[in-house]
Amino acid sequence: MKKILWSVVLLFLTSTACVRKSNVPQNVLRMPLESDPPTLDWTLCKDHVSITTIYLLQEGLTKQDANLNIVPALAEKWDISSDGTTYTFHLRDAKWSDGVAVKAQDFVYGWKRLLDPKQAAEYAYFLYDVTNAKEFNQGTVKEFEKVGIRAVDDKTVEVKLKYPASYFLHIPAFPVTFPQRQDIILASPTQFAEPPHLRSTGPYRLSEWKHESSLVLEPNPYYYGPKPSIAKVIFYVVKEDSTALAMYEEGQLDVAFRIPALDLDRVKKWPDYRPEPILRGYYYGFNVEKKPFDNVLVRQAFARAVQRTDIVAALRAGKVATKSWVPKGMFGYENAIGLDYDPKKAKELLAQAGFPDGKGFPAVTLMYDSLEMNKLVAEKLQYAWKSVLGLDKIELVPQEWKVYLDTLDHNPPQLFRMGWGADYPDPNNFLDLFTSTSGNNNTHWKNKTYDGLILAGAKSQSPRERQAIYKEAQKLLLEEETAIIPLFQETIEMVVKPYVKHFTIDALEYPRVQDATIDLTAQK
Amino acid sequence: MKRLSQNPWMRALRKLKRDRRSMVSLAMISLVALSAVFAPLISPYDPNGQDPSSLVRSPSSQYVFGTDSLGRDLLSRVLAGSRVSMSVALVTALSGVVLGCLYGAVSGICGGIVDMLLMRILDLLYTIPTLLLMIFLNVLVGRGIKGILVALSLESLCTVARLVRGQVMQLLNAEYITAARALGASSMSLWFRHLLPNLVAPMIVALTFLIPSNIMYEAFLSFVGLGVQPPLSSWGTLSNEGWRGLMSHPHLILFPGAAIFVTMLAFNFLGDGVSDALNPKGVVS
Repeated sequence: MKKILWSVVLLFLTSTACVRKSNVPQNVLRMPLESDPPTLDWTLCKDHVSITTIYLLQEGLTKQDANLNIVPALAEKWDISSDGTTYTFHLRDAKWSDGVAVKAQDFVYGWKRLLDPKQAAEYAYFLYDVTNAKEFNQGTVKEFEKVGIRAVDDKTVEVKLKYPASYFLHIPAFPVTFPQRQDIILASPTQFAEPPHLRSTGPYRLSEWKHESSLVLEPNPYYYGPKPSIAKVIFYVVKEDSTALAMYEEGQLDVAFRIPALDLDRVKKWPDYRPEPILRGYYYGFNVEKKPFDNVLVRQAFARAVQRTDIVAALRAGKVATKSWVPKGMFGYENAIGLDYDPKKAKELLAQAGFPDGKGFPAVTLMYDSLEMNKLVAEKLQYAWKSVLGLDKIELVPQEWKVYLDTLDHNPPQLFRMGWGADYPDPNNFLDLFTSTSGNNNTHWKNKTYDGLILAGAKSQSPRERQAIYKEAQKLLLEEETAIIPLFQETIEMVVKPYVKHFTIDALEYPRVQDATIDLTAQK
Repeated sequence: MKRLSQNPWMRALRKLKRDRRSMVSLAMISLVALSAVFAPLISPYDPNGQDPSSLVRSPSSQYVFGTDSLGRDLLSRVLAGSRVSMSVALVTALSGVVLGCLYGAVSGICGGIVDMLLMRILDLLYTIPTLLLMIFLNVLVGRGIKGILVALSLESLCTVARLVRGQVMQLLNAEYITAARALGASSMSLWFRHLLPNLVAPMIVALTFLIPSNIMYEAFLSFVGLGVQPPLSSWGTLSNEGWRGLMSHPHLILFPGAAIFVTMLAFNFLGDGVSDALNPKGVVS
């Protein structure tokens, strides 16, 4: 026994005495990815990990700068007709990473693929403002020629909209609308989004992809813009945020995102620490078709029992508690809208709903995807609803992310946590989520007035009018009907090594690697 | 001079009492067991009560073990966790022993085709790695305490059944059984008078090893998220919450970890002692 004890002690001593290696390689940026990208097919992608990678590889007609303003990308300039429904994009002399010129037809092919009902692309609805796009996607129009996109010549793309959508220039800045190469896809239909087949139009090209391990990106020699300063970008697949932080501390990563709550107190003191606000809302949704949440009074009681500042404090990060849905920093933000914490009122509402002091309240399943932060929030809420409303039959059920998304699609539980990150900085992107035709509306809440308001907001070209419309829509969603409880707006807590300069993350949570440089003189 | 009893049980007990390591372990276990039983009385706070004004406090005179990220008192949570961990381990080990005895005895006594069938089923379960089997069972039965109880009981059953079958087979061939049979003993009396008493000693030893291993398995399952669900907490779930804070707030992993460590060690030492004491071949001094 003594021998074992001594060997254990010895093992500890030697493991801590190991020499720390910090051989930072030259001009290479090493970043963590929270999972292997589900797909790098930019037409069919739908998640943040894939899109993070795709933004380094691909560009569209337009793109967003660091402040999310629209700037020219593959289209050098564009004309908008006086009624705001026809957009004519003039392409620049850009090339794919194999030297082939980017043509207008590549866009038409890409959009056709996105809208093709057989592809069942989740983001197909992104083009629904385009004439006949919805009809083609839903199969009521069979001929793609009737959809409002056409190649006037090799270098001109013309897009016709159903109505002037004021945010439309943001749509072609989103990966699903980027051009696709028909020849490449036909040659290797299943492998075209992997090296060596993958062709790119952006600042980088993908030179290696070891699934579940790493991706290596190198500058695209044919990129039209300035060559990126960093010669190699390596993404490592690191699923645990705590592991990513440990790797950062050991000098194996140059940046790390999402610092675990428990490490924040320590990390906050570092000069490397940078919290950045992002346009991502965190909410709890009710399935309004399931009892007891078919009763709006119950939903309001639940919303009234939540003290958001406590939740934010427990997460220890710079999250911003918010009871309204459109995030701060976006047009249409109204912090006064939403149901505030009011335990007395919450009890009254529950009593009115027929459950005085929670008596006779049925068992409730609360689901969340199994991340540490989500568990903390769920436990916080479970406790709040127990202590304020006297409900002790709220069961917490965590699920793994992919399984969870599937559950929400097919049979949403009574209560669930979700987040929504902006795809483009317009309130339409946040409020459209809860219309009756939205594929991402897991609450199953359907309201004709709300749908009408969102459509009117999309059509309107007067900012003042839009603001009034969205205010009304938010009141309906959060106060009168309470389909969701917004909790807070997220910030991303990241650490960046001091030798990495000009590295930022935009409000859509995408790192802007192309602007970054590495100070080779500063590192050891 | 005091006359020493020749009862083998008394002899074993005497031997055990003389083993200091076992006695210290027994004291430790009693302490943990008592604090688990009386947890609601001795807990300084409500284990689920959240105090938003004292999040992640280090150990102090107010919070002896500190608090967690929701402002819950860690000492109260470790005490509450000991109730879950210990009772799960005890219940599953006991049910494993009882059911395993039955399973093994049936197999050993019946012999032939029944024995073959029952043992092949066990073999099949044995080919699957233990943790994998438990995760599988847990998913099948449902996450949470129910799943854990089924998985751990079955796992204990497997271990005990083999042991018992071996013992029974061995005993059935023993000469005194043959003698008893020759004297016309019924199978009932054979079982109750001769076989069962001979199984008690190995079962006690099995129990002392099953309990700590079940504590560990429960902790493991809870650690990976298949165990008890919040607001219930066991040592495993506490460790899971704690390891993330290892670098910044080590108290979160230290106390639940130490609780598991100490309890496991005590049970294992006691198990060693009991096994030595009950071994009739051991030197009697």
